[in-house]
Amino acid sequence: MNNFIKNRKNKNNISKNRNKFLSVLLSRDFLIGIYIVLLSIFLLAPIIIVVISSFSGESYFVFPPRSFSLRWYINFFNSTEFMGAFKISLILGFTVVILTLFVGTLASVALVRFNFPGKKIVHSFFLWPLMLPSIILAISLLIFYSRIRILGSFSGLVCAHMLLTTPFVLRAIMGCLYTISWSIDEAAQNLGANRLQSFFYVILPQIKFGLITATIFAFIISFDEVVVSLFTVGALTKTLPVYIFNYLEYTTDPTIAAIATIFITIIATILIFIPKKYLATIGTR
Amino acid sequence: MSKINDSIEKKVERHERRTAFALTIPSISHYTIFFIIPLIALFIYSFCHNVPGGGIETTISLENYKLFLGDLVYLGILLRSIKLGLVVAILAIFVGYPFAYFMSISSERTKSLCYILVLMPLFTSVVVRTYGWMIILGRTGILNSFLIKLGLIDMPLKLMYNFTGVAIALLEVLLPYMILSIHSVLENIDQTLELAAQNLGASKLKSFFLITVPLSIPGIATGFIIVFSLTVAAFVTPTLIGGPGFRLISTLIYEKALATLNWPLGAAISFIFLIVMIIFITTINRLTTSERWGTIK
Repeated sequence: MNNFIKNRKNKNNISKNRNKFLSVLLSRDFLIGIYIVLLSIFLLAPIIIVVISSFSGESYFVFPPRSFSLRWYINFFNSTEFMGAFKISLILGFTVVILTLFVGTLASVALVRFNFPGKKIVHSFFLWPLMLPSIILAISLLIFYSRIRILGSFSGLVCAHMLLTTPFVLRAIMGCLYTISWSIDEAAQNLGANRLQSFFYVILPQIKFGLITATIFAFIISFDEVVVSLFTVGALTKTLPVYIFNYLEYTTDPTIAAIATIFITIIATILIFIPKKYLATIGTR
Repeated sequence: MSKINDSIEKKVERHERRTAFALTIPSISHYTIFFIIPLIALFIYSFCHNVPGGGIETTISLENYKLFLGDLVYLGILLRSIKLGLVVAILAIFVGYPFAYFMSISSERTKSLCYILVLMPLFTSVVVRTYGWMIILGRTGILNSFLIKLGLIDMPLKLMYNFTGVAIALLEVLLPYMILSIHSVLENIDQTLELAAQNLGASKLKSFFLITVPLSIPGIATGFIIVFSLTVAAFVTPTLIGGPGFRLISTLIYEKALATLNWPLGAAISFIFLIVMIIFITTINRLTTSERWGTIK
């Protein structure tokens, strides 16, 4: 960088015109602009390419596409295997969300509201599944499930996914619970509400925001999960990402691009609804 | 009076403890059954003897560990995984740091645009993004045909099924983590420190490298650890981009678990892998603790 500046100073004396051009070229804003554009292309390239190729008319990928068609989408909606996997992913996602929200809300209230011995240990315990490489979690579940004979079952998948969603749900809900004042809860109980009533009418409306964020995150995580699913699915419970993964191991055709585009659209639509500050806190884990 | 107060306090405490226990019991039991017990089972399996054709023999022997550690092919795979992790994590620092810095100094509106830019890939399935990279990096893929059209190369470059391709794709997949963790630290650094340094005569570059960069080392370290561990544990991208010829520790575990069905060996590899990871991560943590670099209070 220092050399840059020296060079610029030297050229100052040589010619004014050239200097003007160079200073634009070397100015900080211009360099930063180029860097940001390149980085954006790098980050978004695979997503954009997938979306474009899903509309291409040829069965192999040419860029830019020579013709456009929707036949890969029709292919997808006509394929019973793909639609079956899609349905399983959706049902699984909703089941995981409901169960994790229930279990997670109870635990977050305990962790925020009450003092008990070993609170810190319990809190960090809930984050452990995220620290373990998912492939190790997956192989341990494979061995355990086959031992207790629930390998490939839907309930096994739900329990496995819940391990990955619980930490995020706890984080979102606890973040909200820390900000509310518990004296309102006590006031409600003083005025004659029982514990459940005060929870449902006083606490819950205040953490609505956290619950929505938690729902969205839990759903996205379950819907995207591949590795743990890959080890624990059965022939009848293949989720969509696992199906795509198995398909891609042998062939690539634009049907996958069509599915992927639907996938991206679902996730992008969901993302638009989350406030940005929540994204930031949860994105960094 | 104080006696009564004490007994009430104790009662409240006991009540709180009981309620907290009741509230956490569902999630703790879920974790115990589906997380702790499977890990114990994995640990036990790693000492068992595999009977080819199905089943295991329950013994306590270190044969699986010896088999892995005595085989140069396996050790080479472990080394390759670690090398990939280091390369991707170091590249991510250099590619991601300027963006994180840009994010922290830009206005609120630009910042939220940047968040979307970073989070959009993060929330798109890894399988989908890897598929995108397969289209881009393939022999007749976009990048190769683009470079040939420009006349920069005559023959298509080999970008798939090797280290380069896997590293490029993983860098894109994991870069958002690096950007976000550096950004979260940069956000909290007092920007007036840099201005103060410039007031005292430091150039912009000097104040950046002597003030901002050292203060953001905790963020770099967190990002490094996250990207390193996710790269080493990555499975989908190396399998699809690397193909069957490019073996890493994670694909090896997959192979043992689902293809050759040698679960005891797979379990032993998992534990060796885990220990190596723990050693690496604690070392990085030690090297980057804030005392070493000094903090400004």
